[in-house]
Amino acid sequence: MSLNIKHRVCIFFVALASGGALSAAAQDVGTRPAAPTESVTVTGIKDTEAAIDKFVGATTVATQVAGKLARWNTGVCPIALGVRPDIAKLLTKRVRDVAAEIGAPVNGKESCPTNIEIIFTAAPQALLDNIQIMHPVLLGYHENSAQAASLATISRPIQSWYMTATVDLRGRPQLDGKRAEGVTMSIQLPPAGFGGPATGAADTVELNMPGAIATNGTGGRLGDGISSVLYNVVIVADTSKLLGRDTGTLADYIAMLALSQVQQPDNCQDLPSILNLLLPDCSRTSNALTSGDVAYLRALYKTTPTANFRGQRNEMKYQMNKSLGVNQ
Amino acid sequence: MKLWCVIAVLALSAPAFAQRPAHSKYPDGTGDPDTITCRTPQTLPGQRLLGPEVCKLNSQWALLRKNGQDISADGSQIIPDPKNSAVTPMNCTTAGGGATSGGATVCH
Repeated sequence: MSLNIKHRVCIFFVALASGGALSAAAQDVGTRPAAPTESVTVTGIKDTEAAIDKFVGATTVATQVAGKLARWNTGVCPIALGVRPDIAKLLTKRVRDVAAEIGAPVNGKESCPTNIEIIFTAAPQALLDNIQIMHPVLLGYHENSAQAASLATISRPIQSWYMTATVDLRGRPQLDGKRAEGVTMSIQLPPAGFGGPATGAADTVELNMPGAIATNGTGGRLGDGISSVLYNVVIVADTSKLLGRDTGTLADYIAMLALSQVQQPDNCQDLPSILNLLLPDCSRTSNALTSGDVAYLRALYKTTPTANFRGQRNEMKYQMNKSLGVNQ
Repeated sequence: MKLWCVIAVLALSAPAFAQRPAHSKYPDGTGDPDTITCRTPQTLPGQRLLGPEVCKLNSQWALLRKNGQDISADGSQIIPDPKNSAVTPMNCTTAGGGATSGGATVCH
């Protein structure tokens, strides 16, 4: 590609003008008395931009079938189990409130089919073993039993599992996964309770997935026009490791996991985030969702659902930078 | 011609036979973890009726056995393994004995 004459002339004059400016500046430095040394700490824009970049890179995850960011396209309907009714109400209300704030759809009906199960238990591994045996579909996409076992291993005080679906041009969702089935199921929970026993009897969670269509994930891309959506999220909190934690803080942490398919970071993130809460020796945390967290969630729900993963990540970074006052 | 036809039918149906899940009265999870093994129907508690056949991956049966569990006769939930629950681990200690003899092992 060659530049035309007009462009060349333009570049010449720009170079000439900037050269003059540079020489004038050089002369200025030579004649002006030396300025006293100043100590200016440059934080903010560049650091924030880099932190956003790192945060998005560390926490976003592409779905296995469509290879895109997943988000809710049906109204969220959370349920909390293993806690006192008042705490359960607080947790579910917070998830709904945050969803409404960030632009995620909310199911406002009282008796809606649950699609976010928040389960507090003192025996999380027993619960996950139960899920692996009876309802492995809840673990999310896996191709074999080794992957299922890996997914079902508890490694954090609060952990989440995502069932995703791929939506085609007609808006028809197909669950991602080899053994996905449309089912209604109940899971019996080990007796435990955060903030005291929940009820006298063991809790059960009813999962109603009426629209689920069984499909075989090929792992191949289906072409343009497809998007990934969240279909069901299971969040398990280990009560034995959360003693003394504020319920409001936990509600915010859970809301973050419930509204996005977050890959919980292993390392302390530079961007202050509630996701840093349970990491050891991490000071950049908060007792509530930070402005960065809210920007992250808002950005997720603003991305083009059919764009590719890289494009979606870039869109998220752009939106977050805009929200947090970078690149103004 | 008829012989060829029979051979062809057998050859085509062989994979179908091969894919039929194995059956066991008490699947213990041995074998390929991604292969399905079905437990033969069991009598429902308090009834004379049989429950359904319960089919799981060997990895799932293995996990159940590792946790001392089983699946109820109606196939709906996980229960303590009746075979396993009666067995309690023995507490063994070695008493007495010198430098050359091992002493006596006493188990409770």
